Order: sequence, then structure tokens, then C-alpha cells
Amino acid sequence: MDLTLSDDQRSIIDSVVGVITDVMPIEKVREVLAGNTSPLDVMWSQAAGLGWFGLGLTEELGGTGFDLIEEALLFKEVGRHVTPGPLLATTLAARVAAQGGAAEVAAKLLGGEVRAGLAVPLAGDVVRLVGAAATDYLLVVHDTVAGLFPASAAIDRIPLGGLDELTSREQATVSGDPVAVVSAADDPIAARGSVLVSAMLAGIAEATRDMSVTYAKTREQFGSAIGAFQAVKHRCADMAVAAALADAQVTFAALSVNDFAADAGMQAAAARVVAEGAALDNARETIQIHAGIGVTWECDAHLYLKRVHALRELFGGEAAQRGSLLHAEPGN
Amino acid sequence: MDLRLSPEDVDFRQAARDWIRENYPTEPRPNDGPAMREFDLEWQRRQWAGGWAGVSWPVEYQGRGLPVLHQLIWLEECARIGAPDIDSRFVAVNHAGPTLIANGTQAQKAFHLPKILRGEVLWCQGFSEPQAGSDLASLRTVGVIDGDELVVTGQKLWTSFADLADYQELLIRTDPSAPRHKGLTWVICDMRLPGITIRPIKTLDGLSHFCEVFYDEVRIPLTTVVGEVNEGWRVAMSTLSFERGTAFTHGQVQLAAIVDRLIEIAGERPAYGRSKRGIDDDEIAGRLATARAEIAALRALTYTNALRNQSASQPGPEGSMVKLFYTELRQRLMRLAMEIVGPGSTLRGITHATWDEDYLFSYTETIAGGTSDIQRNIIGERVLGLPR
Ligand SMILES: Cc1cc2nc3c(=O)[nH]c(=O)nc-3n(C[C@H](O)[C@H](O)[C@H](O)COP(=O)(O)OP(=O)(O)OC[C@H]3O[C@@H](n4cnc5c(N)ncnc54)[C@H](O)[C@@H]3O)c2cc1C
Repeated sequence: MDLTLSDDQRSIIDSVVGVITDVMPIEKVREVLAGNTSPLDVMWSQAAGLGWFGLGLTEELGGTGFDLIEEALLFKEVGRHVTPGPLLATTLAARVAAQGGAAEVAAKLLGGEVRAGLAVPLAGDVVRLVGAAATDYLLVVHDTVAGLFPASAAIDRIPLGGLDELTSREQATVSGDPVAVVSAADDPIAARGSVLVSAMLAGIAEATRDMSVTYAKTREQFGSAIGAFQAVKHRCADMAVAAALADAQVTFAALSVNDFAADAGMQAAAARVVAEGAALDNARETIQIHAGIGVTWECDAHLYLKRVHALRELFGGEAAQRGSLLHAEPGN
Repeated sequence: MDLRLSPEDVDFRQAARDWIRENYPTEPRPNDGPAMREFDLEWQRRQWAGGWAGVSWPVEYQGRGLPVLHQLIWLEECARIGAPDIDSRFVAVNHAGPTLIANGTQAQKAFHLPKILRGEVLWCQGFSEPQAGSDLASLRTVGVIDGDELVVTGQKLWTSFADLADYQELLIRTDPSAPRHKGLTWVICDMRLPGITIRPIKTLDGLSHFCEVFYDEVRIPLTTVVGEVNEGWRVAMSTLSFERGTAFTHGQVQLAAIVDRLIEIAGERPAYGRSKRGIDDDEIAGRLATARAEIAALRALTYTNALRNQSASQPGPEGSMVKLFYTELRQRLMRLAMEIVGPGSTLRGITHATWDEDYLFSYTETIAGGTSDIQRNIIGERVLGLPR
């Protein structure tokens, strides 16, 4: 057992952080928010060039040959920086295309030429499209199977509202044939997706903790930094505990799912529950600690809060996690 | 990063499991008093005889010198099978031992360490006083140097197992004129010395976990000072961080066992005062599921901290995160247990004879070893760097 970051893992994190701070810092995120998609295009080609979409895919299938844990490290940074764009859907879609025999599509997804959005199955062929605006493919992920469809397969698209302005939501019906299909027994796309969602949530929990701590050290009232007041200090401490638990559990989940461990389902569900709680609580506390400025559009806190809500509806909601946890083998 | 155990780790776990199954005491543990002392020491003696005492203690002090991962595995295996928790042996094995190893003289180590591992002695911790709880550095029990002895007068409070212990880690003020943290001394006190009076205090579960201890000109040899005279704060702080390291591993496995049992009970009968089976009640089922998730995450964090800190000579302030979350979670969980089984349940408890006792005990844990608020201060100031 080894829970320390390897040199490779450290350089993956450094490289991801380097790209994001360079091409998609928070100011650029806000440009995207204002409707200018060109920063996204710049980021997309860099991400593809660095192999983000195939990080966890074997080299034979066109990837870099790392594991789910490395992907989780990448997506934790994506969460931490509220990076926009269908990064997760495209990563998973590339897996499905590559393993489902659609090598050409896989190459285009990996190379950044095309993008994919997610389709959350609702009932029958009706799906909720998440982050699928202006994408070329749709990944429909069921618990047992994942299918990749051309975007044209989605008919009757109706835009839906949503809290996160950076994540589009639509309702649609999927018709037609998939270009690739992968069963969960061969590759658990839903489980991997859920772990990566948890990783993003853990990243959000850390980012909001850091935002709060930084502000608590600089904002002064009553003649001292507000972080000296226990009401604030103890909130920050609770945020730190929540973030640390989420991060540790996401690591356990990523490693367990990758190893097809017997308790992988429980570990992944635990990661979702703990990371969702941490992200939502920490986003809330960040708004509270920033107070007046915290509820403004200008403060980044709402970007995190809204992203949490967008992520929560992917790959099994609360009921599904509850089931996996309650029916897990006793004595973890 | 890798979660899989190496073949050596798997062998170690299997050997531990086999040995514990053959040797752990299966008769019920007496709740307190000399019978409990004898029970706990007998279990320690068996571990020594079987070569399992001091799994992570250095080999030169007759420990096994194994990595922290093996210590975690050992603790988990003990807890899984239901072997007794460290409990009354805690101060001796997890506090005094490591503190002596880090700070003691050769003579102190040679005398005390074997006695601890062999199950000959219990220790207690004499830190808190009536006026010095969270604010430990304000303690007033004084020690005056007289020849080659310290003459100690004052009072300690909440000393767990003082009435059963042979030795005490005693923290006293030896230089009243020095700044608060600079005038303290950490000394080994023989609990049978003349001038010591011990009065057990009854706790809310009707048992007695701790005592008040009075010192009336107790003469303690200077050779029992650990570290230097007036260096006690540094020594005491190293002791406290040991307490917040891997110390809750056994308890975490107990939490998992409690949830397993509650899920079983919730599947069999309606929750107390409700009409539906607990498991069919969304609110109860949701809380049980969340508890399982939180226990898993706590284990992940414990492993992560322990494995990342193993090269450090003593655990860092991150241990406070585990202590805070574990004790608060245990209290939340026991409250949920009360809502499921109801008060006065005749079902057997998990760590005590009844669920009532398990429940009441959880109220002590967010206080002992530094209250939750104090842990939050430590995390805020020492982990996050917030101003005092
Ligand atoms: C079961 C049990 C076993 C124990 N065993 C031992 C033992 O073996 N040896 C030993 O030496 N001690 C022992 N203790 C004592 C324990 O360490 C103290 O009870 C604890 O440190 C708190 O001190 P206090 O009870 O005086 O509370 P106080 O310090 O008076 O605290 C009262 C309240 O004020 C809060 N508070 C105090 N200061 C602050 C602050 N700076 N910021 C925010 N909140 C604050 C506390 O959190 C608490 O809620 C034991 C306690 C228990 C419950």
C-alpha cells in the first residue's frame, strides 16, 4: 500500500495546473460565462495536445496508459478551478469509442477535433443532456452499459434551466444507433464517471476552503483579521476536515474502482456522499465568510456553489449512492 | 499510489488474524475496578508471550519494529474480531512508551519499557487540573527541588484509571517565575508513593472512568524527570500528538461494526417510536448510509495521514482532524442508534453491555484528549495558519 504521490503524479498535477492557470484562469472562466467561447477552444487544443482525454486509456488504444487515480488528480484540478467545457464527457466518450471499436471517432475525441456531452437517462429514450451544447457526440451512461451516439441522435431538444450558467442542460430523446457501446463488466464507465465527479467535488471543497482561509487572514474587522475570531476559525477548521476526508476517500475510490476491488462500489458511493457534502458545505461557508461580497456576482463563490449542483446530478443521485452504501458488505 | 497489500502485508495480516483468533479473551470484560485491570493486563501479557506486543515499537526496545501499515492492520484485526480495545493500557502503550522512547534516559527506558510491553504495569496521565483543562499550561501543581528529589503538592483531575495505575505521567510547575510554558516538568510518578490520595469519580454511565488525585508533599526522585527540568511542555506536546495519530483505529472499526449492526436491526424491526422498519424510513436509511460513507472516509484519511507521516518522528497537527471527526461522528452515530433501538433496549451493545452505555460513553469522547473546540483551534492555527 502506498498513499504518497509519485513523481509522475506530481508532474501531471503541475502540468494540469500550469495549463489551467495559463489559458483558463478565473478571468477567462468569466469570459466564457459572458458568452465568449474562444478561451475554451484554446484550452481544448492544449488539453488534447497534452493527452488529457486519454490519460487513463492504454497506449494501444491511443492513450497515455495511466490509471483512474491519475485521471482523478486531473479532474480534482478541473474542479478546483471551475474549469468549463465537457472535459469529463469527452474523456469518457474517448474510452467508449476506443474500446467499442470506433477507432476513428476515438482518435478525433482524443485529438480534440470533436467533443462529447453527457446524456443522463431519465425514462425510456428520454434523457437529460448535460454540457452537451455544441458537442459532436453524446455519451449515454447507464449503470450496466454506456453508448456513444452522434449528436444528431438527440431529437426534440428542449433547453432546461439550471443553476450553473457554465453547464448547459436540455431534455431530449435519443433515437438511432450508437457508434460504440461498452458494457460495465468490461469497463465500468458509470463508476469511473462517478469517481471523477467526486474528484471535481473534492477539488471544489479544497478551493473554497483556500478562498475562505485566505480571506480570513486578510479581511480585518474590530481591529484584527477575522480568522482570529473562533466563529470564523472553527468554520475554516471544519472546512479543512471536510476537504481532507473527501480527498482521501476519492483516492481510495479511484484506486478501488481501477483495481475492480470487491468493495469498489461502496468506496465510490462513499466518495460521492462525502465529496458532495464537503463541496456544498464549503461553498456555503465560503459565501458566509465573505459575507456581503460573498453574495455578489463578482465573488467567485457562486461559481463553485453552482458547479456543485451541476455535478450532483451525474452518474447516480443520492438514492443510488444510498443503495450501494446500505447494501455493501458489512465491516468495510 | 496503490491500495493493494503486498504479499508480506497479506501474510502479516493472516498471521495476526490467526493469532488473535486463537488468543483473544472471549469472556466479557469487567466494566471497571481491579478485575478490569487484571483482564487488560492479562491480554497484554498474552500479546507479549505470543510476540505481538509493541508492533510498531523499535526492535531495540523489544518491539516488533514494523511499519505503521502493520500497526494499522494489527489494530483493525483486533477490533474486527472483537478483541478488547487498548483502553486502560492506552497511556502506558500509546503515550508513556513512545514518550520515553523519544525523550527518556537509558535508565528510564531500561526500567519501564519492558514492564509496559510485558503487561506488568498500567499508567495514567496526570495533566488536567481543576483550574487547568483546555488551558493546560495554566496548571498549578507545584514541584520544589529538594536535594535529589522533587516535592510535589497540588491536585490533578479527570485522571483516567488513576486508581488502577502503577505509574503516572505527571506534569507539574517547577518554575513559577518563568513564562507559563517554560516552567513545567514531565515526571514519572509512582502511584504508591506516600502523600498521594486517589478518589474515583462516577461518570454519567454509572461507571468510573476517571479520578481526582491529591498530592501532599509527595517526594519524587529527580531521576524520574523525562527531558529536562522545565522542559515539560515540549515533552507533553509530543505525548499529545501521539494521542491524535493512529489512536482511533480500533474505535473506527467499532464504528463500522455499530453501523453494520444498526443496519441489521433497522432491517428487522421498526425504529423506536416509528411504524416503519428503520431501513424503509428514508430519513433513518439516509443517515445510516451517510454514516457508512463517513466511516469509510475517516479510514481513508487515517491511512493517508499515517502512511504519509511515517517518516516524521511524531505525528503532525493533522491528527487533530481525525480526532475531531472521529469523536463527533461517534456521538452522532450513537444518537442515531438511540433513535433506532430506543433507550433501555435489551439488545446487547457493541462496546459496552448495553446500547445505553455505548450511547452515554460517546459524550465523553468529544472532551477527553482535548475538546472538539480545542481541536478546531489547533486545525485553524497550526494546519491552516490562521491568526491566534
Ligand atoms: C473521559 C475523560 C477522560 C479524561 N482522562 C484524562 C486523563 O487521563 N488525564 C488528564 O490529564 N485529563 C483527562 N481528561 C481531561 C480532559 O483533557 C479535559 O476535560 C479537557 O481537556 C477539557 O478541560 P475541562 O474539562 O476543564 O473543560 P474546560 O477547559 O473548562 O472547557 C469548557 C468548555 O469551554 C471550551 N473552551 C475552553 N477553552 C476554549 C478555547 N480556547 N476556545 C474555545 N473553546 C474553549 C471547551 O471546548 C469546553 O466546551 C479526561 C476527560 C474525560 C472527559
